[in-house]
Amino acid sequence: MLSVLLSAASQGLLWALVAFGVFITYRILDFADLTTDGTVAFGGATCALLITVGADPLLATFAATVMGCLAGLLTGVLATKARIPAILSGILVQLALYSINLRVMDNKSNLALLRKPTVFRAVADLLGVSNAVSELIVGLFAVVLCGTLLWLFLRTEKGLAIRATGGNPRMIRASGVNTDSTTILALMIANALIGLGGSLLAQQQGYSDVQMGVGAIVIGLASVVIGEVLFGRKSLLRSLIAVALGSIVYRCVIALIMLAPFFNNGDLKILTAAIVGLALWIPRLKRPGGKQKMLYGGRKD
Amino acid sequence: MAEKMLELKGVTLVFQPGTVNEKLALFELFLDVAPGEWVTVIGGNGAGKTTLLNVVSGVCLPQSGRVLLDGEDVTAKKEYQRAKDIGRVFQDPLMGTAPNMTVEENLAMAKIRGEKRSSFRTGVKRADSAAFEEALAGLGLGLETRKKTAVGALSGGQRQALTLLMAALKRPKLLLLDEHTAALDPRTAEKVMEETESIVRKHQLTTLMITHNMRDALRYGDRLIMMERGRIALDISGEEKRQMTVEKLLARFEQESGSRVVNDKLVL
Repeated sequence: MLSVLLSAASQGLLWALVAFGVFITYRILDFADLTTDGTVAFGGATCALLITVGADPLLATFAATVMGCLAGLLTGVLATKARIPAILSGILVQLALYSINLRVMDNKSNLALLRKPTVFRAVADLLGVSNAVSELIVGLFAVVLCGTLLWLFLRTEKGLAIRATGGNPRMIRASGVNTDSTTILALMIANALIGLGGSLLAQQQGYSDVQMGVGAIVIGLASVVIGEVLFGRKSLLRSLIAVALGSIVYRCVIALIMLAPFFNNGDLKILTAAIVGLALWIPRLKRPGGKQKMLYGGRKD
Repeated sequence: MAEKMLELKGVTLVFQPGTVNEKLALFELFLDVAPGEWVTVIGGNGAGKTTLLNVVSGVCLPQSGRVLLDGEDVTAKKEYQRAKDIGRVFQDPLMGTAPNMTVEENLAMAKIRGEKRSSFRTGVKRADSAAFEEALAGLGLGLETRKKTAVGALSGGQRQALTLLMAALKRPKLLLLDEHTAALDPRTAEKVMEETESIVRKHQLTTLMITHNMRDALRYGDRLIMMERGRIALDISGEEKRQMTVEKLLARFEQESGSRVVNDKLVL
């Protein structure tokens, strides 16, 4: 039981990176970015390919992050320069990424990393700890580092402009900000985090799969919503911590449910959908007639 | 500084040209505004008042004609490229502020209007804190103690007063006010107008103010223009403006538009 929860927690930490990405697009930018699913698999595929051809796992992880960033760039350009609706832009890139991911993995639907070096193994060897502990350490390190950088960035002048782009694009344009640029930048940062998450997930599970990103946006959303319901969103920092914790809670809940003999792996998606649906519904039940606003921080009006 | 802060030279703007919905919004419009001059703009619905402000701020690009701001031709510049020189307050109090961000964050964004935004400098700077507090206190709405409150939690009047403050925070070459008190209750509207007067006069801002309220149009500003069908139908200033009354203005208005004014919002 404890080992199940520990493994769920380290999974949750890695997925928290994806959740950060979803938080940026869905919450801050108010842009439902469906690139997410493709980017997770893209990060995994890029990383797996590089590791199998002998690249350093750290370099492979970095490359996956850059690739995620480029996927976000493409979605951003489609949404702003081509003026394609946000959701459709994301769907187009996600669809394109499916083919690209197959190409990256040499037209195979998965690519194994058996007995190949990974960042987890490297850290395990370096510190002389087990793989399970190494996964926790790496996950925690990545989440704290990315979360802190994100928090600092969102408080800079540029960060404020990005948040205002989601909150009131017209106002921030009148303040001299090119909202096309801020939208693209936010999508690049979000998808870089998601690509990073995908690459670490592939290394952790020991293979990359073209399907590994299916439902990633919903999982990310689940983490955001669960985190906010349980831990609040009074400030930006609080929201970021809540998202990371939400991701861990989500994984633990799923792990516990899966212990029941009735469920099998195929049921994961419907359980996820049910959890997100409920988590979005519950806050409304608490405030009858209350309008749920896509805000973090402050009071809802 | 150029002799004229704003020049519109034969500006024509047609919405949806070549369709059945074609609408002539501005027609060969000429307007010169001197530095520090405060112009109030009145006119019926569809006369082109808001379009005029949109052309000046770069929201709409005209089909022909030129827009000069402080001597510089800005006709082809986009809204965000002109922003460093233009402060704007909209009719809708929700329009001018970001609701998901705090009062001080909104002010911090306005403080660097039109400047390049750094990815490394902190947005809300400690050095600005005192100045922000003083400016907020000047509004007399108690906002100076609510710097960390999300703007979405403020009332419409508070948000509009904040927007006004933000528009003038980095002194603009041109202040555009688009019926900025129309959505407020009478007392708050009065208060925001007083604040407008004090800010415009203190910084000697060149101002274009659209209003539906003829009394405000006469009481405030140095010059009054009335728009009709995309052109300026009446342009008075100085003694002529001081002698003008709401009744006479109304008569001119009806004469120009060729119909009786039934909307008593105009008279109030």
